[in-house]
Amino acid sequence: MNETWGISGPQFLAWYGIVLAVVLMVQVVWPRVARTRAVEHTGELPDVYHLAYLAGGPERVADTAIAALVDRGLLRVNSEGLVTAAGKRPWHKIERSVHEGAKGATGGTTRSLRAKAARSKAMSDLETEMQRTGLLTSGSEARPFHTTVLLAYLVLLVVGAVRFVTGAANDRPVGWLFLLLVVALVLTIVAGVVRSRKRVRITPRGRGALTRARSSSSTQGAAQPALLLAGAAGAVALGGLAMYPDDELSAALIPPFQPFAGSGGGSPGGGSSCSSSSSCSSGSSCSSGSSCGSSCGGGGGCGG
Amino acid sequence: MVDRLGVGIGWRTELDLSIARLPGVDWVEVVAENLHAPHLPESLLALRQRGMPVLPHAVSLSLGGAEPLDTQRVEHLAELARALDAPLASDHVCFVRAGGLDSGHLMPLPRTPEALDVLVANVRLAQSIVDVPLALENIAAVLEWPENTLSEEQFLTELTERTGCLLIVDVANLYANARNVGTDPAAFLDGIPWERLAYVHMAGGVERDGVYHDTHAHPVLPEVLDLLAELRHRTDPPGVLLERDDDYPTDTELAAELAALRATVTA
Amino acid sequence: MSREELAARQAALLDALLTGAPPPPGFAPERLRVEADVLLAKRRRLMAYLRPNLAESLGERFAPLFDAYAATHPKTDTIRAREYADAFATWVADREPAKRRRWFRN
Repeated sequence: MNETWGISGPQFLAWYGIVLAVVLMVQVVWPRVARTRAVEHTGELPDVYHLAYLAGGPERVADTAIAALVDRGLLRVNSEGLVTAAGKRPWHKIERSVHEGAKGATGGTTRSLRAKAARSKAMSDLETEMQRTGLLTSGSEARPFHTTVLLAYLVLLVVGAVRFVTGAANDRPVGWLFLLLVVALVLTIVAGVVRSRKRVRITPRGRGALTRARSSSSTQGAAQPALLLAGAAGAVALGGLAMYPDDELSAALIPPFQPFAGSGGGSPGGGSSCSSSSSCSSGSSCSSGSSCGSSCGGGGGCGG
Repeated sequence: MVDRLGVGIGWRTELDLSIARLPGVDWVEVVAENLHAPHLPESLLALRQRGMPVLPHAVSLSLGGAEPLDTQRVEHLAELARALDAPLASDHVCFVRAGGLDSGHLMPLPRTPEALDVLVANVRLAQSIVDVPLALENIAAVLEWPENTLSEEQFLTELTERTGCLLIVDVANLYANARNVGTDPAAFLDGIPWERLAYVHMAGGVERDGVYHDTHAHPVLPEVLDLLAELRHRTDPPGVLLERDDDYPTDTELAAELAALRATVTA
Repeated sequence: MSREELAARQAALLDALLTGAPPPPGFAPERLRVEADVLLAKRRRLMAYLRPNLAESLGERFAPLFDAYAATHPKTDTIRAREYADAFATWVADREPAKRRRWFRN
């Protein structure tokens, strides 16, 4: 009796296992090789927002912009953590989006500004830029590779399944093939998940840039990066809002602990804090006329 | 008779840390309706501890209203003045509520002897509740009552004579009235009993469609600074206060506005 | 003019300015319009201050919606500013069930 497809069961099993292993190896090793290759394509120096992203993601970028703007007087924080925009709008895209978010009578909080910044076009532009300069990986550039891997697994799965069905129909032993099929199925699912996941990751080059920035900011004198990281923005980029050089402002900017805080943005401070610990002072100012729920519900404004 | 206050700024919760750090702030004024004596904000208490005068300024007493005075609101102001150990408390020459409606804004009074009688009666009642001197401020109007018989300075002068109250002269409001309802600023400045002056208010505004709006959200106009200089020719005001309530500028710009006020009154 | 007459005149003025009632005799109509706009703008700003999330989620429709509400529901002297803000929010939510879901989620 002829072997199915003219190849014996054990031979098929061996080849099937080998091909599966090779695909798996390529899947694991290639992205690392590609990442080290990607490092070479640009010589641009990272700026303070790139470093903030490398040190703490989009949230740190927002914190750094807040710090930079507070330092320059374009954002004002009050003792309750209410952040309001002041003066002219800044030039830098990230700073502009944070400044925008703190506009209006009610301003924002560190939390709400982080949430708004994370959703902003400026942030996705920053990510794109960092991908272009090799500081971040992008899910999208690795996608064709992951698609190929997934297709390879699918082909193996189909071939194995057909062999299994014909083998079983001819009363051949299919126990080992069944095991390999299960392995192939699992690997296919994993490949599918990896392909659909679009995660932005820091490249070795990104990690290197951050390490250099950290060491040069601790050892003063290294000319260029130190200059880059000067001031409040640099301190916050690497160390978070706790590193803002002014303790009072730092304390005001760090969001209060919230047991059920999600990643979403808290509502801006402002008007709604009558019931908060402080007092109605956070309610309306003179311009807004009436008080918050005091005995004096009404009231005119100041200037008339 | 009136304490010398110097140059101050309207305390707003958004500005609290800025105000504590701004150079050239001798005192602050708070909007009475936004605060409660038992729960004063920490940042405001810190200013008090530094010895900075904090003066409560009400916007809702409706002292010119013909309906019975809401004494609860006056009690609130009195309580706040005590809690802040303020040298005086204030509201406006206006009405806010009538016929069950709340305008949410300061409305001009008819300047007639009858309206003055009503105002005087309410002010006397308020004075009996507030245990510090009461000061009243001229408002900015965009409309005038047809029955007006007295000028604004006559009205204010008679008010102070009959009640012994002090005056807050808002120079921006004077400018607004000159632009919007044709008040003569020189006549006003000549007719005010300056010995009754508690302090001066200064604020920014903007002109839209031929009407000057007293927004407190724009820089002080040079014309308003000129009027302050005119006022300075007639008296040395015990205090000058900058009001800014919206679209806050940077600390640097606020400091520059305060410095400009100081330069104008010390010139 | 007695205190009662003055009270009636003041009430008529506020009525005209806040609810669009006929202008009381003697006032310049175009000045009444300017004053009515000033009062409405002030109330609108206060509402945006007290309900920032609502104002933001309504976007450009906030002003016309508030103006429509204010014209039919002038603030009375018995309701507090925050209660008035709550009443407006409820009014908006009742009118726009879809919007309601959106800003509740925010």
